[in-house]
Amino acid sequence: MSNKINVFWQRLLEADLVQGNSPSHESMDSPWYVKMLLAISGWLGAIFLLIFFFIAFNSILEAPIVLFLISLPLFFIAHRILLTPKNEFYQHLALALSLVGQAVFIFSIFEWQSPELICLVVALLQLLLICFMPSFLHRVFSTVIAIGAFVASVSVAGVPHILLFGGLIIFPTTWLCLNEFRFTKLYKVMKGMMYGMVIAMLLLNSSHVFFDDFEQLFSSNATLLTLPYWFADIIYISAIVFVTWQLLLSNNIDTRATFSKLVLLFSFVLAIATFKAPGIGVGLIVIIIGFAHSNRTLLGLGIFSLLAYSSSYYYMMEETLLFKSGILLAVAILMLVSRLLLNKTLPLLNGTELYTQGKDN
Amino acid sequence: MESFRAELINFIEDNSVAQKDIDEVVKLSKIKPSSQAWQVFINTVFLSIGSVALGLSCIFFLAYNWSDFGRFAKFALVETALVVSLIVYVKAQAGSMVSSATLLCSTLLLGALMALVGQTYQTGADPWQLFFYWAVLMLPWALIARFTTIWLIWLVLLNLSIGLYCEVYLNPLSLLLDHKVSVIWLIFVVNTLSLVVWHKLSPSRPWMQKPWAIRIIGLSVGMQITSLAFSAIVNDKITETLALPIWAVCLVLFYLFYRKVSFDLFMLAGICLSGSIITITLFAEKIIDFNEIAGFLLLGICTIGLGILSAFWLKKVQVETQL
Repeated sequence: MSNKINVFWQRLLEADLVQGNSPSHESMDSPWYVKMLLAISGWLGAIFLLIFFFIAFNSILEAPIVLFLISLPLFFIAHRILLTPKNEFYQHLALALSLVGQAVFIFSIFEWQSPELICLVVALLQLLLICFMPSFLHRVFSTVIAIGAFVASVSVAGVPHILLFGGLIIFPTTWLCLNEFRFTKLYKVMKGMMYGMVIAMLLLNSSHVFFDDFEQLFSSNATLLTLPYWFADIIYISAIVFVTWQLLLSNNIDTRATFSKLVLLFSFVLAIATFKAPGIGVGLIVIIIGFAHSNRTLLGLGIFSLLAYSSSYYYMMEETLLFKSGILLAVAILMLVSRLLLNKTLPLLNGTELYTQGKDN
Repeated sequence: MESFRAELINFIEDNSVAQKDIDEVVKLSKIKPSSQAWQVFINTVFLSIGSVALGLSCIFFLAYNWSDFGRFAKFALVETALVVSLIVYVKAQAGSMVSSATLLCSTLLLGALMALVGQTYQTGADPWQLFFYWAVLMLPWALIARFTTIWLIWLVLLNLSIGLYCEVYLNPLSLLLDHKVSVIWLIFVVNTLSLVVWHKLSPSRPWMQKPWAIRIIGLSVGMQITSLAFSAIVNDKITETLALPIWAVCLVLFYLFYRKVSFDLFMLAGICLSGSIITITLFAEKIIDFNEIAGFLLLGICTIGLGILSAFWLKKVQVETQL
């Protein structure tokens, strides 16, 4: 790895894009599994501290204002710790304190008796934490919770179909993943948000399989917005085509070329085949976006979500096994026939550079 | 996917790269694959997803509660699909993407056939047989194909067979032992043997050298022995079972092997997690009853402290291996 750093730094030096010596190896990022281990420790520690907190100060923690006032210094201390030199230890200590602060804050607004308002406030709190807490893991966590709380809030308020949000979130997530390096000054914020949005996108599009009662949990008699059921399907299909269009643009391929039209047609057919099983389409999107930017974490997330979705899909009660079998058959035929056609039209693909707009040159 | 992505991110986060140069820097980092790389990737993805979807489609189709579709028609359907996929496998170039994908599809179809046999002849009373015969019948393919995924599927099927067998026969080792043996112990022994054999054979077999395969088996072994030690503590049977000493031996052996012989940070992180879980559980068992309030505070501090120690040690090891 250190060798790769030096090689890349040397290339940038030769191109006159950087100056001086390469950053030290100490600042190297930890692998995902080390992060996960530390996250588990931090979060478990937070749960124990939270239990201690509530048992020890039981008598004074009944007043919402006291709870609210206690949450503020917890956020402040977490923020101060995160501002200290970059180290996994500080990150997790701060994360644990912030989680305790969030739980205390949520308890302070519990008596409002308005689930949609509580969820909305939780979403807004998470947005603030994304902006102010300088930690990757915190931002990933806060983004997932913010999106979940926002969806819960509008669902309770009367916007139907959770899958509608599953389709809508594909648009900004794709754009962010393919433009992650656009704002270098904000990269740390963007990175946390990107992974959080991808996780939220996968969860929302798989909610009908993994959490049978998810939609019922947030259903209400309120009708803030009345939408036909197929509206969510239209959003999903448009989103899949949008992803393809963005991928073509990201690779500087002319979207008016025959090749591009064929790729867009393929994505449209794939969306039609999978709109009743959006977890398949979205898992595939994450894999492809991961590959497009050499992002192994996204690749792994996509593969894991596809495996989890397809193994749980069998037990989904919403559709019959015959219908699900038909969807899988359609996906299989589409994939295998497309592969066959792709290999037949190999010269066309090899000549992709002919269709590019030449921005790289 | 040989790119400088991790290095690029490090430089951006260290503010070593100016915003105006970012397009050029991203281009030099080679994170965007070439058209040839895209072609290979799309080929692999389409073939893999297509084959798995085809196999699953067949299983779902057969599982549907048909009233006007006879048993012979069902057998004909799944057997024809199986034969066709095997013919494609035989015709395909050995070790190619097509051969791997068709073998994966054939494995799923074999499972469908076993399920159909169970459904038709009412052997469903012993579901372990389905997974056991599935594993036995796919064994020749696994031996011939030398395909990592197939071997892992075989191991999962074996684990499932043991688990389900123990649900039916409560004392599977009654001929050898007087007392009942936990199913997790049996699965732990099988997976540990698999890990040892895998390590023993992999140096001379390139197809067995994939780190993810070894990590999956190692993770499974670690999870089983950790859960055994955990339940021994929680059920207050520390002195009655050998779970805790065996867990400690496993931890030491894993450390020695993956630190000194075959370095793997993933396994070392697993050791830290397992060590933390068991230490915290032991600690919790001893102090919560003594003083609840102080107990939870100490547990919180202990958990975070162990996380910190793990972080420092893993970082140190990571930096050492990079230099």
